[in-house]
Formats: sequence, structure tokens, C-alpha cells
Amino acid sequence: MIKANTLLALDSSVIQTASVALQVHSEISYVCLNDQHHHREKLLLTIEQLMRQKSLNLTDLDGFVWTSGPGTFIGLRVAASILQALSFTTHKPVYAVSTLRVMAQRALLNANPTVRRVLVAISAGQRRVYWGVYGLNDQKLACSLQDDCLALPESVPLPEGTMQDQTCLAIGEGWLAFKDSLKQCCADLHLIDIQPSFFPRADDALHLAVEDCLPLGKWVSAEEILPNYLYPTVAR
Amino acid sequence: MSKDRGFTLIFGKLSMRVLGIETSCDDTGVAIFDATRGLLANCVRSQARTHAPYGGIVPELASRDHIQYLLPLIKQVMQQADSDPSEITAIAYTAGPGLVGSLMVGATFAKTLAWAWQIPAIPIHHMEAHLLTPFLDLKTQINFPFLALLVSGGHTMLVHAKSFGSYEVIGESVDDAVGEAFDKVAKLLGLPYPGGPPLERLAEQGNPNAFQLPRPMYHHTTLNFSFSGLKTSVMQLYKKQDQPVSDAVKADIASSFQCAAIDSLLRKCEVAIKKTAVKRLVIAGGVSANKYLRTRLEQLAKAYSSTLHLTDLAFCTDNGAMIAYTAYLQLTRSYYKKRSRDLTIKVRTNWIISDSHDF
Repeated sequence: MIKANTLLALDSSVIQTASVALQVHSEISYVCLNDQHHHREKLLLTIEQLMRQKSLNLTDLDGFVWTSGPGTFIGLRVAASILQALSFTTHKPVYAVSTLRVMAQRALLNANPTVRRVLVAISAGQRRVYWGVYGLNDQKLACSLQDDCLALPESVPLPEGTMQDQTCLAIGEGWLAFKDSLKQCCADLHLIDIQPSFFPRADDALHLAVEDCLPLGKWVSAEEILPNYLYPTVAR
Repeated sequence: MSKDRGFTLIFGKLSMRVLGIETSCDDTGVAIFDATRGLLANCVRSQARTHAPYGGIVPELASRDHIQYLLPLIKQVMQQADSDPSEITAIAYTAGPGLVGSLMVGATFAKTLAWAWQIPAIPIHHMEAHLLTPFLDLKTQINFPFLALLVSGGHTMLVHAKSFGSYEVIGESVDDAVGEAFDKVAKLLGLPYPGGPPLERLAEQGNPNAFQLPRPMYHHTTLNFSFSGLKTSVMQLYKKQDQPVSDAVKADIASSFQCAAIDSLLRKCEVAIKKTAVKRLVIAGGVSANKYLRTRLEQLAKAYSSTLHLTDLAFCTDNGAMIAYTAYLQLTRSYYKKRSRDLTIKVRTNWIISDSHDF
């Protein structure tokens, strides 16, 4: 298995926040940037400050983790550009985790134990949402019940046959922007709460990468670090 | 002097090697410029095929292409220049003006790479880089002042370059850029995108006097340009023709349009020479590859006993070489500032050229 004592994780996949997490052995340092007008500008500076606090050089890092999308295009590309450059110079692997899965992981672990499913919705522009449905596997890791997708709020897909008897939690700001449409689509489900102020965090991405990507050897090299846009094309 | 200032001293001699990154619009350009050996490598990936189906640049697609191809291009130029990362002493990147998504890719990558390699990152003004391109070798001396006609798909401006870093825009388009007008007329005539080169080829087969087209602002006292009215006139002219329009008529329209557009450019250059008494003229930008424009400018320069500096055809469109070269000029003239160590990632989409050394 690839050595992974020291990992740097980034998230800038949503408009509202960006974050950096640094794992050194079992200790995790975490910084969240909430200034949505400038957080992308400060991402590299935050990385440098965190590394300096821990007296680490780039050569000390064993790899990188990021939330690869879906999400805001510019934000995803800022994180991708930083990691391309860092992976290129250090020759260290990069682990990509779905933005929606990262959100679901925290929601599922923190929720009432009766909650079995999480419905994640992020606004995608053009009256669409990025949509994911997640549950926990035996290793307490969030797993998708269907592929993350781009959908109209009026017609978000649900996995067949497994949802009606499960207690569900709704997260993501898409539930604020399209609450009525999404609730109507999920009318048959036992939805106990809606938490729109729920954003992805780099430390959760780190956790998923360590527990899932690393054991499975799911990593990419610098040139393969590309956002998962989900929008096949934006030109009309 | 140290690498921290964009230099290294090797056996007592100054060494400087700049990696230039250009991602302001729809071409990804990377190059390496060396202080003693000049341009070592220059690679450009044109996105023309990506945008051709849409007849113009789609900003989001441009950004997606940049992030996919920037790193492979950097690897390519490093290999072509036979250059090791330890030999690169500074990284220059286009910080504006341009499309925000495109600029952010290059700026973020450049800043991060410079931090990782512990060298300065130099933000460069895209239009300043264009106007210095005719001097992009170590033999040609840059003599100020000069007048620069910058013509592309995004810009049409006349700049009075008084000294290095002191630029005054003395005229610019009040509406469409001249390259944009070329693209739109080309699309009307059924030519592929980008429209400049095919329109020029078609124009060579036509008669420039076949149709009388307007030269907006030709007699205006300012040095500003306008191409929107000319474009509309061409569209109206096209509709009046027997449909389908024959190839011969299309060639006449292309030729008449090209002549009108270039008449407007020439007129303002002539007035600028008279007004400023500056006897050096530089032309740069994508449209500066147009042979008819180059010929007409040569005639103008001769008539006014002026020196004309034409951009090498390889560097008319956006490229990393001009970015690396401009940073080299800044570094050799001690324009190094603390900002190059600042890790905040900033771009300026509307950066004006008169502030080009103030980022």
C-alpha cells in the first residue's frame, strides 16, 4: 500500500466555503474559509500557512486529497490547478472524492441513528441541482445508491425499491433554493429534517480517502486531476 | 542577487530563465525564455476546433480546455528546452485582461508552481506582452517611444508607448473589436471559425472596390475606432444579393469588407503619427497576421519615413513566449516587487494597460 502518513486535502467545490485539512499521522488540522467572495483567492495562502504551522515541507507530504465535484466550475478548477502543480512537483498521488459523498459522510455519521439515507442537493445553475442519494456501508462510509447526477428539481431520480421504508435526511443548499420541488419529488419518503446550511469539508474528504481510496489504490497522477463537472457541455 | 529575485548567479554570471504561461482567452500557451539564449521553447494549443461549432468563444469550454492541457504543455516545453525545474528562475503568467475562468487556471497553476519551486511568480499584462512581441529576441533593441496598433478578436487599440511600463491608450474601439468583426462577417459568408484567415484568403479572390462600405469614425477627430456599423452594413448588403449568394459575390463582399476595416485602422494610425510625431510603429495581436494590413502599414510607414516593427507570424496570436519575454524585461529592469511572493491568487479581467506595472 502507498505510504500515507501525511496528506493535504482541499475543498473549494461550493460557492459558500472552502477548506484545507492536513493530516500528520493521526492528527488533523483544519481551516475553513467562509468569505465567499475571496476564499478561492486565499486557498494557496492557507495551505502555506498550515504547512508552516506544522513545520512541513512539500516533500514531507505523501499525497493529496480533493473534492472533485460536482460543484462550482471555477472553484473546482482552482483546487485542481493547485493540486496539478503540487502533484507535478512532488510526484505524489492524488485521491479524488465526490463532493456529494463528502457531504453525506458527515451527515450520516452525525445524524440521529434512525437516519439511513441522505439526499444531497446543491444548486447547479440553470434551475438544476446536483443530486446524490447516500447510505452508510458496513465500514461506516458513505456509499452512493445511484450515480451522482445533474437533474431538474422537479424530477430528481430516486433508487428504486429501497427508499420508502427508510428514514431520510435532506442536506445541501439546493434544498433551500428548490425546497418545494424537491419535497414534492420525495413526498413518498420519510424525510425527518432538511439542513440546507450543510457544506463539504476537506477533513471529511480526507477521512474518505484514507478509509476507502487508499486501501483500494484509487489514485490519479497530476495530469489526471480534472473536475467532475457532470455538465456534459455548457454551450447552448 | 539570488533566485528569489528571479536570477541565479552561475560562476559569477547572471542567469535567468522564465517559464511563461498564457491562458487569458482561448489559446493555452507555454514558453521558456532564457536571458542569454533567448526563446528556448514555445508551445501553443489552439482551441479553435473546440469553439468552431459555436461560431465564437464559449468561455466555460475555454476554461475546461486550459485545465486539461496546461500541464501537458508545460511538460512539453520543459522537454523541448531540455530544461530542469532547478534552472527555471521565475514563472510569468497572464493576470489580465481576459476571461476570468481562463485567467484563474493559469494564475493558480503559476502561483502554486512558483511557490513549490521557491521562485517568483510575475503577473503580466496581456496587452503589454503583445505590444512588446515584435522585439521578442535578444538582437532587436526596443526603442521608445513608439505607437502600437493592437488588433485581435478581443481588442482594437492604439497605444502610445512612452517608455517601458508607461503606456497611454490614445484610441480604441467604441464597440466591436476588429477581429470580432472579421469573425462575424466570415460566419455570414459561411467560413469556418476563427474567421480571419479564411476571410483573408477569400478576399484575395475578390474586388475591394466592388461594394462601397462605410468607414465609421473615419473622419472623427478622436483616434477611436468603430466596427459595429461596418459589420451591420455587410449583413444588409449580403441580404440584398440574389440568394444563394455566389462564390464570386462572397469574395467581393469579403474583399470590400477587409478593405473598409483596414482603411479605418490605417487612417487612425496616420492621424496618430501626425498628432504625436512618433516615428516608430508596432503592430501586434491576432489580426496583425493579415497580409493586406501588413502591406498597407508598410506603405504608410514608408510615406511617413517611419520604422515599422511587425510581429513574427508565429507570435501574432496569444502565446506564452510574449509572457515570458515581458517578465524577463521586467526582471532585468528591476521591476521585481514583493507581490511576486504573495500567495493570494488574483486576476484582473479589466486591467487597463496604463496600469500594467501596478498589480
